[in-house]
Amino acid sequence: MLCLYRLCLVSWLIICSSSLLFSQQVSGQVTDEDANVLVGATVRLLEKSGGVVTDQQGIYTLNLPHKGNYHLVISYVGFKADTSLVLIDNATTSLEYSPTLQVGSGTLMVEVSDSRALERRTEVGTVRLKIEQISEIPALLGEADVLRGLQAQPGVTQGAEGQTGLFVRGGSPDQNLILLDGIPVYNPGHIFGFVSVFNPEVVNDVTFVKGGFPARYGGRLSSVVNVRTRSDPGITSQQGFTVSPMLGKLHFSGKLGSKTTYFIAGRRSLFDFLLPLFNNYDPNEPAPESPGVLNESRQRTDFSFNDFNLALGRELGTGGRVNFRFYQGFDRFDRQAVFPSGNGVETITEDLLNWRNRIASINYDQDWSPRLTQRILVGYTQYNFRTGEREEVTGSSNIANTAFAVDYSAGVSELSARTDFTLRASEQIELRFGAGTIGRDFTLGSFRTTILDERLGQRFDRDTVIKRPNVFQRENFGYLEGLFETGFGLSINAGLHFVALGNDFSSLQPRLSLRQTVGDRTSLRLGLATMRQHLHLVVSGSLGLPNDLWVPTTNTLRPEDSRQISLGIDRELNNNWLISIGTYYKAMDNVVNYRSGLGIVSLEPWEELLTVGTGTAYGMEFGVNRPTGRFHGSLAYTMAWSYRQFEDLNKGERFPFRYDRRHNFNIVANYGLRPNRWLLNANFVYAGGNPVTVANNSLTFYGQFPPTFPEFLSFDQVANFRLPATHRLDLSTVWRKQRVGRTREISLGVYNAYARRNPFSVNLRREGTTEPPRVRQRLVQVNLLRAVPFISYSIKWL
Amino acid sequence: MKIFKHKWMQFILLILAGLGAGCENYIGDEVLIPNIDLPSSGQFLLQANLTTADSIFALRTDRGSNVFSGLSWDFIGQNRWPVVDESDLDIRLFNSDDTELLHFDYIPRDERIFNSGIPFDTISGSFPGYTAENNYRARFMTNPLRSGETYRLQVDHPELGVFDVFQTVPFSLESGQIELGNRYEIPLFGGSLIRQPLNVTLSVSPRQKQFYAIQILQYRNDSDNFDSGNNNIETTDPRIIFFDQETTGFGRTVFLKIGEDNTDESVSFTIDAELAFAQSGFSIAGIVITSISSEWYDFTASLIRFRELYPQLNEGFVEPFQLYTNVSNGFGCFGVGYVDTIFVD
Repeated sequence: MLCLYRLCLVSWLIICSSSLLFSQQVSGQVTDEDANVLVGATVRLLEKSGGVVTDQQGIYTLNLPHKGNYHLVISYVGFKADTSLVLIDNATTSLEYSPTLQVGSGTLMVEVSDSRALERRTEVGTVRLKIEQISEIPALLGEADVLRGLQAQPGVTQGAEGQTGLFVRGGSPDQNLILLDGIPVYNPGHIFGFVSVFNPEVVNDVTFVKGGFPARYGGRLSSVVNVRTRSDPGITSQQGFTVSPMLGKLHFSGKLGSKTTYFIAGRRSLFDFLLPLFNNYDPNEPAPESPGVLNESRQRTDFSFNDFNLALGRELGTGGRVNFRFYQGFDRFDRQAVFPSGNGVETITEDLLNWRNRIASINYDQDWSPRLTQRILVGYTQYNFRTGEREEVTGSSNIANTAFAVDYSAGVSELSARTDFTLRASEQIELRFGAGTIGRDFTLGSFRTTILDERLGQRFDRDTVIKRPNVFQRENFGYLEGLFETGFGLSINAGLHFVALGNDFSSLQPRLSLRQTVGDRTSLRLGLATMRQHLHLVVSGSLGLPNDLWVPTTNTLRPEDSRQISLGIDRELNNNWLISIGTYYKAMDNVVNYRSGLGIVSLEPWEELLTVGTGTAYGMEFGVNRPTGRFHGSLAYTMAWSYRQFEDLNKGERFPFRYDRRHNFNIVANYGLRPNRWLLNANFVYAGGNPVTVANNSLTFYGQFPPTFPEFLSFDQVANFRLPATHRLDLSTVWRKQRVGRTREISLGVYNAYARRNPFSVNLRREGTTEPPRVRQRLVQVNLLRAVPFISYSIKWL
Repeated sequence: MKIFKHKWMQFILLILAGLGAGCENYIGDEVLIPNIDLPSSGQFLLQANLTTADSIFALRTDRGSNVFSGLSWDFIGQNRWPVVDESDLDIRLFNSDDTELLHFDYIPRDERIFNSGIPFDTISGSFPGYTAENNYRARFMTNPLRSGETYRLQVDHPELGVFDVFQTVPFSLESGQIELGNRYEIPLFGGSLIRQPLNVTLSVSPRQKQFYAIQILQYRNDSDNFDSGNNNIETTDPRIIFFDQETTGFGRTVFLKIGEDNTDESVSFTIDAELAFAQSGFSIAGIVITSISSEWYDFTASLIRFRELYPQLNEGFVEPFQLYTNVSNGFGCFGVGYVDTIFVD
């Protein structure tokens, strides 16, 4: 075994040293027309094999083999490639070249080198999307949505109809590490998940990893979604606003002096200003005197959300750059209703749900040399929610006045620090390593119950508070990752990720991604990854709601682990079409679920609420992508299976996961009717029905139990019924007018254009028949979003 | 703007305007899922708990869906339970040698007796109050159930097919002792409640799951009748899990589970028994302790758990609750038990 280690070490050194023989370099930074840096752009020489991709700052360094004439090709998906002639002689040691790429959308551009470079990347199961690509997908309320864009990717299953939940390769939403500039977002949803927290005006690009995880990522089992905001050095002065009946947005960006940049953006719902049209109850006003009105039920709904982004950046004289970012998002839902029951007695009910995300971070980037860069990131994230309900019965003085209120709040906060190094040893070898620490504070629920009973002049008042103790968790991690380009078409990303929770639950997670090029246009890929996460999200019911509870790992609820293997083949076709086919298998341990009959409203100690089990997911993915051209778009099909097994549920037998949708189909088609002026966009989604558990047995046992409790509802199996499939077509058209320094845009569209009744949830209903005299139990599906039109107007100016 | 003069845009605007006008009908509605009944709404239901002390074996069959619930009493025909009272079932009990031991016969409604002795009311066509009727019975001369023996209850249903459920009779309790504590009084609603602790010690097998159903025998000093009272149980022994069906006046049976982690050869606990009609001179005579199968225990425990959770099950934000059943493709329970009685010295 020792000999094997020595052999590996010697091989490593030989590879490194041979690469370091190259002495001439070309380097620079790649940006787009708005001076945003392009991460992952491919840089290569037309005359040679191999190449490099730009880093998080859009910077590249490419070693040149020997003197001569070369064509330097710089390309990026969705942009026109840049080709320049580079002359190297004996006196040349280094060159700097920083091109600006132009958007290729709406133009007929064929760049073969782009896809060739893609094949050479070491990444497997990684997708990079610019916000411009995401914006072309018609979305609910007309608001371009990062998570909705990811739902169109192979391997991703949508959650409840209309929601932005991500279920990646059979995983649950808590298994997605959703990052805003490297800091986790614990609830990425506004409006109960129908809109994500990511303001598209702020987003620069998204990196989505679903398999073959590089060692620098850890902490979740199923995916990494890293959303980068527009706050990088190339930022330009720009202002703009967008207004629609549903929401309004405003943003400012620019420079303060020569070295400091800023970006401020805010977003607020506007539909709440329309809600008073439907409200007929105001708690601050006296009840109407008309008896006719008094006998009618009245209600009032307040619902709104807002979010705010701030980014400040400053160049330091040492070659470094420091960035400060802040985000806050808040949702508020409050519904009150009054139900008269005669004799002046009224029952007032109120349902309340608020939730808030707060994120702050500082990062420092330092280029120690053209080969070595360092990033330090310190961040804080907090998520909390408060939910409550109240019922109050009021009446005349000789009738009882009673009130009952329940208030529940919980959340999680996290303070983290990490540093990452990137060493570009050569154009074939890159090393990444780093370490960090995370402290999490779980607020596991505080219940407050208030009871007031006042009758016949006597008053009974009780206020009870039950608070589960907070739990603190410290997680330390480190990683080493190597990216290699061999000379025979094989690219390797290999690494180790180490994580420990205090002194317990240490784990060494090996990662490996291989990509083998076959011919000019085909590549094979293999990804192996083991992952671990030290926290769980327990979901009540089948919908992902803001009041789902984050809980930590304990000796009872051990860390969730996964092992995943993925295989695939990519092929480039003519006319810029890319086709990919892949398959995956994932096994998960220690996944959690509420015990039978328990949920967020249960008052038991939180560890007793949960049961631990295993999960299995496998499937096949198929994708076709045409990133550029007058007609461009994508097609994604996923055939997936996902199961869970718990000793305490379903008699210990395996059952389908709540979003085990067998067939998932997504087509995004964009056509430039008048390139860069008038675009037509379409998005078709088909998702197989997801399983639900429906009580299909009603048992009566009079004689054993009191007559006040005659009926027991039960079911034969968990997930015993599948909802009908959902499908819809979303359409939009964008009219854009550009003048010097000013761009105006009108967007019109409709979500679910053919008004398909897609099931959002399901209820049980009984209906009687006379022949024979029986009662049938029927399922009723609740449809939420049928043909929702949208329109918005935006203007941006320099 | 020029763009709105384009025919394409005018057409799109027309569609959007129409959709917007009908928006109220297009956002949020409910429809029946077409042509789909719940897959097992007519599922076979069995409730049969047989013991070595039974003089007549009785059981109840029904359909798993309470199809008439929610309709008016006129429609239902007051309290007719079982709801689907079928007379053409073929029900038999076999031993491990596949020898038929019992054949169950349908009980005509007017011959049925509610478990508290209330007779059938031929005028209303039902039992007064709420009842659970056994609708099949088997008579025998000698109780055929033996400890350690496995039995098969077979139900041949003309529509739903054949159901086979297997059960093994537990072994008898090795020994047990009970000791009465002092009576005490709890003021309640202007009157008082009389309670008396009952200290129970049972010999059990270490490291084995064992399940018991315990009833307290009470007698009136001036009568020979026994009546099981209401029981509250307190214990600090974590190995023992208690289920007290009811503490407010309806419960009669305490269910006890001894887990595999028990290493002792005996367990002790206290039943804080409520004396029925204490003013009338009731006293505790002893306990009837039935060694029950794990299926009987799990089924009853799930019913009790369901009732505890019932208020929050209606909230919709909890995991669905599943009742235990050992009837494959059907619902309910076939359980067996060995009965012992321990009297106060």
